[in-house]
Amino acid sequence: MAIFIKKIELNNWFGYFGPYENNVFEFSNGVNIVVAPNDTGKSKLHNAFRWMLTDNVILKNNLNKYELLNIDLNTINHILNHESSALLKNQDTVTIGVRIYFEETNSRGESLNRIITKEVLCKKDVNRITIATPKTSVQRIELGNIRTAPETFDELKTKIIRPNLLDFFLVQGESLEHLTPLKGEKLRTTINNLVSLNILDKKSDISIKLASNIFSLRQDIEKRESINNTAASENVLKKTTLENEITEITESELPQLNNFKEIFGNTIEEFRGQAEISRKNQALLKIIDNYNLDIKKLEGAIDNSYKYLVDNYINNEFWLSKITDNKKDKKTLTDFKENLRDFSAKRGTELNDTLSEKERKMLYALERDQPSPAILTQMIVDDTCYICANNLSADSKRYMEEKLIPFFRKELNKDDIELNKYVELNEIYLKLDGYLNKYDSFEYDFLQSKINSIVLNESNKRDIENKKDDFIKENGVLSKDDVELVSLTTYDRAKSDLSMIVMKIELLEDDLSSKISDLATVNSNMRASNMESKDSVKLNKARNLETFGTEIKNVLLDIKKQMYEDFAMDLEKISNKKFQAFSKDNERFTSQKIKVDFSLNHDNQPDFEIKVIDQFGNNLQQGGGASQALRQLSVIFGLIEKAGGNVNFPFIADAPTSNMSHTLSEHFFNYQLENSENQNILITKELWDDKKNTLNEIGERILTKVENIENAKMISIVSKKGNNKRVNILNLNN
Amino acid sequence: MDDIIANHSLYIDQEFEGFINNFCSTTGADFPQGRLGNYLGSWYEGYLYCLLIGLNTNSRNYLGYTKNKKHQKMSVWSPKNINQYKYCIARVMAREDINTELKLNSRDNIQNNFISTENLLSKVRDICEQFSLGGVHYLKQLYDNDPSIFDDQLALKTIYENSIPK
Repeated sequence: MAIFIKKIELNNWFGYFGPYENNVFEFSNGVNIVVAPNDTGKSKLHNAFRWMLTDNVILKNNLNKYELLNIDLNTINHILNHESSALLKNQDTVTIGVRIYFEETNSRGESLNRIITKEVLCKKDVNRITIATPKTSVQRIELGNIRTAPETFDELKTKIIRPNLLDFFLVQGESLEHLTPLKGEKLRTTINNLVSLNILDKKSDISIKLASNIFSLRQDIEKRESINNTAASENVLKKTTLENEITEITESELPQLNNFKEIFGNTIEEFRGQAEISRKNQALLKIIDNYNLDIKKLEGAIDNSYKYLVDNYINNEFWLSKITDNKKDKKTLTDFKENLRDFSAKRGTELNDTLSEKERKMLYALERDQPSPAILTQMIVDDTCYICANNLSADSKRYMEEKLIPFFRKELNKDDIELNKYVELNEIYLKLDGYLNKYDSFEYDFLQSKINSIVLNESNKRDIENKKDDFIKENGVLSKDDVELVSLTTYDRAKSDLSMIVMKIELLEDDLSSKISDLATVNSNMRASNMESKDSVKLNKARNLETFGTEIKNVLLDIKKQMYEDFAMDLEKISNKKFQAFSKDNERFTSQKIKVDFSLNHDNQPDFEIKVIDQFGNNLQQGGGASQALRQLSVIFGLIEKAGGNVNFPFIADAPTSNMSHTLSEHFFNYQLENSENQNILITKELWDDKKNTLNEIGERILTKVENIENAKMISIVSKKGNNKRVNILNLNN
Repeated sequence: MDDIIANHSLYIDQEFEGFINNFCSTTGADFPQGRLGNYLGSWYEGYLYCLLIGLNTNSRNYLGYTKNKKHQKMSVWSPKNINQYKYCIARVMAREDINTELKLNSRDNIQNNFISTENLLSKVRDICEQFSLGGVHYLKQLYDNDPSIFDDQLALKTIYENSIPK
């Protein structure tokens, strides 16, 4: 079977203005090269195919990256031909459409001609374009007449390129990498579809299912057979349960836990060294922190003591007086005051010559105690002597009234110069005495205790600082980073997780061994109760079948694995051949090789990964770039070749050589022209000289070749002069 | 008496100003950071400190100032300062030798020499100056022997303490 696209017609599609008949690309059954400068409609042509086959178009987004988009209100402005759009008046409608003519031939030489059309009705609504749901139609050409076709659009669409192969047959150079995956499920599906290995897959799957069904069947029979024997039936039930539980543990739980054990074990090994250093550093930092804390505490205490001293001694009081003992000074001042009294008393007795010796002595004594006349008067009123507390006799009263009171009154006379001097001096002494008293609080001991505590704290602080310095000298300067160097948390957590998992594994293993021993007991019980002999022919058959089913399952899996491995090797060989052919004579690629890795995953499904390696086997992971594009194309053609005659779909490629040099491009086109068995529609600008607006040297060479090859065709798209919205489609080799 | 004292002008010797600045501000400049127990905030406190040191050590300089006098009259005596000064005067007048010198030790002396409180306090002020200057000389001598004497945080207290007669 082979498919050939005969024709594509475009209606108001991007730059292609006007109805279908104005924009027709006719293709030959061989290699078709569409060559054109930038912005003439190459990618739009590719998008026409893509829209028909996948409903998507590839447009550049705001970030100048290619993106797969639908035709919707956001994209319609790009897709509807601008000239047609400009001609629209409000409420006018216009149709966007693509129509593909293709031919399907089979091995018997019969052919079917079909036409598929997809259209979107657009309507101008004030200043925006609204769109209707796309409409599709199908037709057939029979004996030159166009009639309705019996198939649906979707059926015919999938005939052109099978949907799961679209990524390999409909490619866009600049999006190759993400549209055409070289690993994962998509690649696997593609490979299976291409080479029919999936038949084996299905058989293997069936064998697995079969083995599992036989297992259940055997269990069912066992159960049924023992239904009449309660004990036996219990045993069977027990056996079944135990068997299931053991399977669950050995095949699922234990492997899972062991996997975790390995992961955590690796983590611990990886971090152990660093974690030990970190832990040590942590301990050292803790010691330094403690030193710092002690120093801070002492500094606080010292500061407090200083503050106390400053507040209470320096700022508020005359602190020097607090540490001076004033007692002696106060006593001296008092003595001086006493002297003054003495002088005054002596002077008093000299004043009156009429006094007897006895009276002089009494007056002297009184004078020293300085009784004022007012007090003497009061004593007479009270009739009491304030000195001896006796009642005064009438003689005494008279003496006081007549002699003493006048005497003192006279003495206090201001004109008494000598007495005034004593009074003035006395006042000075009194005041000064007061100031000594004011600073009387001799607090030396208390102050000293405060100061001693400062001194002690200072000395303790120095000791700790010295210890800290010694410690740092001994252990080096450490920072928080030294501790944070590795994540201790990761290490500790892995350790605790590991210990938990080890515990779980132990428990599970205990559980398992107890279950195995239980199972052995059950089996022996069953044997003892002669269950074995009671087993029916059916059950024995089922048991044999179970063994057989498991064997088949394993054999098929082995075969499947072997076949996939062979396939991977073949694909690698072919792809490398293509890779070398495309990169012919290019030194850069001679050392590179395509590698196809294959493995069976946990579901026994094949996994492929295709990469480029250098001569040392290192993976060259490059996004984009020539070797990436070459690899992709090599694998695509490798797969196509591997699939042989099964897949004669047209290979439609936009800018397949976009990342490659001119030499590589030329190799590619030559190779395709010489070797390709499929229909090729290759859209490129690499063969065009933009400045001269004609084919470049390579283009000319390729054209010469095209002219000499049957079924090859070269088409150019040229903007119409003065109006780059309209294009001319020229067949260069006709 | 307070009024008389408030009119007193106290002097320091300009010759020693540089030295005094080791432990006391003579210009009222900012208090240097980190100095509490080894620095006095004003010239006035420095004067009184030297006076008390002079009294303790019985250092009295009768010769007076070596170069220029520099005085700084208290424009406004704070109660704290005037009380401190009066305390110092009390310490001076409580000395036997000063009592004799001021001729207050006998009736005859008082009769012949005591003129007025103002006169007496003027004499006392002169004596204070001599002791204060004596104190400065004493401190200078200590400093010459050990230039780091004012470095310790509690230097002024220690020096004062050591100056008290045992």
